Amino acid sequence: MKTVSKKIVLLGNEGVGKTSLVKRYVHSIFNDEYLTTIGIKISKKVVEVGDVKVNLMLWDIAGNMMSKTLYNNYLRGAHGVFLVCDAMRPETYESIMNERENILSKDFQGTETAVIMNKSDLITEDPTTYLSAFEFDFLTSAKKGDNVESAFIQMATNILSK
Amino acid sequence: MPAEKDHFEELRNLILESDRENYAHQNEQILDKLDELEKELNDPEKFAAVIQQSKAEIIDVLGPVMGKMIKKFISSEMSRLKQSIENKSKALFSFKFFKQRLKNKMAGVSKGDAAINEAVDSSLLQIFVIEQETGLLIGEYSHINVLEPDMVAGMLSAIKSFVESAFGEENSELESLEYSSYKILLYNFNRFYFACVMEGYVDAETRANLQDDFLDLTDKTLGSIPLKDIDDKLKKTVEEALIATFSDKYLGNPELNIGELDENGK
Ligand SMILES: Nc1nc2c(ncn2[C@@H]2O[C@H](COP(=O)(O)OP(=O)(O)O)[C@@H](O)[C@H]2O)c(=O)[nH]1
Ligand SMILES: [Mg+2]
Repeated sequence: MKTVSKKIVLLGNEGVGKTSLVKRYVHSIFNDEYLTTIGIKISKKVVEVGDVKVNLMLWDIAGNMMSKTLYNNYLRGAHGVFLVCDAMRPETYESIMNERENILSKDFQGTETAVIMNKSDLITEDPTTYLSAFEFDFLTSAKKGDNVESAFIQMATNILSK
Repeated sequence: MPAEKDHFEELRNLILESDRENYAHQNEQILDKLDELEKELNDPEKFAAVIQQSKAEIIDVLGPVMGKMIKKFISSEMSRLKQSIENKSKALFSFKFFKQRLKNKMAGVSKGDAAINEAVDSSLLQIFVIEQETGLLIGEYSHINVLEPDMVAGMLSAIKSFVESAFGEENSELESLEYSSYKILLYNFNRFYFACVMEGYVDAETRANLQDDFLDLTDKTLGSIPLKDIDDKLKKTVEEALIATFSDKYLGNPELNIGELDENGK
């Protein structure tokens, strides 16, 4: 089976569930403590798309306390970007939308981006009504595991078909 | 634009195809090419664009051929040149300056081929080749069993980014990391870098010899390799190149003989 490697970056405010999404299904993860020092967690997730094995190298960025230069450095070369927000906090959606605009307007034209609305398990009303104001690609729950796997597989598929 | 581009193309081909033993003759031709290029330099803006565009390739292909140790020089000269071209008036002056410096540098280049196995105080445990842009592992060579070379490559790249943007100036690059008796030496090329995990005392000569090896390796194989898809086919090519370069070099020194040990390993 053919194997390819791709770089995926996860962006989104503190607390939206980036680390939880990654932790749920990753293949391997480095010791957390060490990595908080440099503001990033790297993990690896392997998915299969058709007859291709895709090594997704996931860069989970704690973006809030870091310089713009460093932030851009971490983003550099990303084949895919997940923009993650919290279904309970609309302001986190606004902030990734701004980020998407910034990213797409610059050096990331060829980068596959997808919006993840996380914490679906906390939605008590009818989700369709509750979420009608938002545009997103995946509605996930890192807590319950809903849709997480398919988000990664879809991302890998989209990147490969570019 | 096509006119300038062609000259770069020619320059590149010239360097790629030419007999590498014949440095003197080759250098002459390169300088001739540079002369022609200079004549074409009637539109500084276009010229700058061409340089910028072909920078990555030029550096990986030209760098090793033109001799050891001048990659960084070219890289910084290129960006300096581009910068001064942006202040248009200085374009021709800058180009002459660039040419002169290149000339001096080439004149001083020797083909000195010190054998790495003279260095006995350290052992090379592992080599990673990592894409600069993405931090993805392109190839790896070791006799010890590394759990997750992909992860190590990503981590090294993250640390490198962190250090370079936190403390670095424009053109500075992280060159080594140390951990107890281990040292990771980083050799930066434009599109990729090599990370060597060493154990023991690493002297200046060992570092320089390794640098020569990597320049040769980049010259022979890696400099022109396409990195569009990082897949197992690419990894195989890179790993074969690493074996070809390093299994010979380290023969005769059991400490450093990673080629032989590799056969029992993976
Ligand atoms: N209920 C619920 N809580 C979640 C979910 N994902 C993450 N969390 C919680 O949200 C908090 C922040 O998650 P974390 O992954 O650290 O967010 P990060 O800052 O984006 O990395 C933690 O307490 C998680 O347990 C989810 O899908 N549902
Ligand atoms: Mg986190």
